[in-house]
Amino acid sequence: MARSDDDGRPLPLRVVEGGASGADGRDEALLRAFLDGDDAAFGELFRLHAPMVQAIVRRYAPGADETRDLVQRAFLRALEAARRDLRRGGRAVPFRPWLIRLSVNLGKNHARDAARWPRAPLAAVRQVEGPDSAAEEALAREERARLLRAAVLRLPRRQREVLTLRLDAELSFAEIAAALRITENNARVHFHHAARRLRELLAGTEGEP
Amino acid sequence: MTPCREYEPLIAARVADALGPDAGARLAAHLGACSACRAEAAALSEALALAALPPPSGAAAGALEGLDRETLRAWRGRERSRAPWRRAGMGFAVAVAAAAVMVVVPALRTTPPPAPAPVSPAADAWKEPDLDALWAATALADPAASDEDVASGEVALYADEAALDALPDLSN
Repeated sequence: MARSDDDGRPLPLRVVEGGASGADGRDEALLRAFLDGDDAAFGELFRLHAPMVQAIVRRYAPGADETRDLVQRAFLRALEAARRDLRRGGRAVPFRPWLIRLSVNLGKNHARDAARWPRAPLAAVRQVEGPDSAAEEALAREERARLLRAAVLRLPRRQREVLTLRLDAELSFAEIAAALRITENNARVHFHHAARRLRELLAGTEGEP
Repeated sequence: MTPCREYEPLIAARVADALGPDAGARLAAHLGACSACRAEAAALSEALALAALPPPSGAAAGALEGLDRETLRAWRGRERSRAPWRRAGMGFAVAVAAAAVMVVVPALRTTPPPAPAPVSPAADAWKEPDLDALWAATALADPAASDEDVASGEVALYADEAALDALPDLSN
């Protein structure tokens, strides 16, 4: 993530494609095909949604093996739920919203159970050594980033969910709201509160040596 | 200096790159005139830039390699292990039911003392549950629900989300 400009310009976030199109029946058609034995349909579902799942769980699971495990578990659970719902009457299956919530919940549970809150994977910055002020500033900034990322995981639940889905998975507020089953405006307010908490924390650290 | 209260949510939305054009223009005009709000925007932007994760490493980019096939194998494995269990469960349930009939019918024909209740603990233990019915009957029918969803504190905390919804709409 590039450093933002000092004038408060928006972060270089984009809105990931795939949310709205999942609601038009594409995911459901793929799910039905897969459950009827078409393995290629699962491959397509995975291709469409796995990068998003990976982006969500990355904050909670820094290692590649952990990430793979969480991505797989999210898909298996979502498939299980989809099969159950399709068997019970075939109403619209919100596969992608399920994946989003499963990813957040599995990620958080993983971090909690393993008691391994992630350290910032900024090895390149950590390796900077030397007495010059630029290196010292880089280290200080890295330390502040580590503190803030730890603070993200301690945010109240909804604030954490909304903030990370926007920052990490770059989902639109509309899709975040649909996945968390809150209104879009509510999601924006949670984001605002989360950002304000982090800003207050940052202000508290900047005066320290 | 404190930022203007009515512009604070707009500032956060702008930093998240999620401000509609009308609200964006309104905020831009305000930021041009209000140094406190400009400072707030810069501080929020800096905090979020620090809180964001760095770009994925090369290893992370390959983390999904082959995982679709692996997940498919895991799914098929579950299916295979599930099917024999169902068949065995059904077969055993039939056998237990037949045994129960053999116990109950003679017992009804005999004279007192009455036979013990013809309920076999094994029959209960091996009766295959209707998982769909059980699932539907639980409060966790949402498949993506976590243990956090049922924590009473959270439920109470978000009971007033309707109040949050009453705040101004920032999306346009």
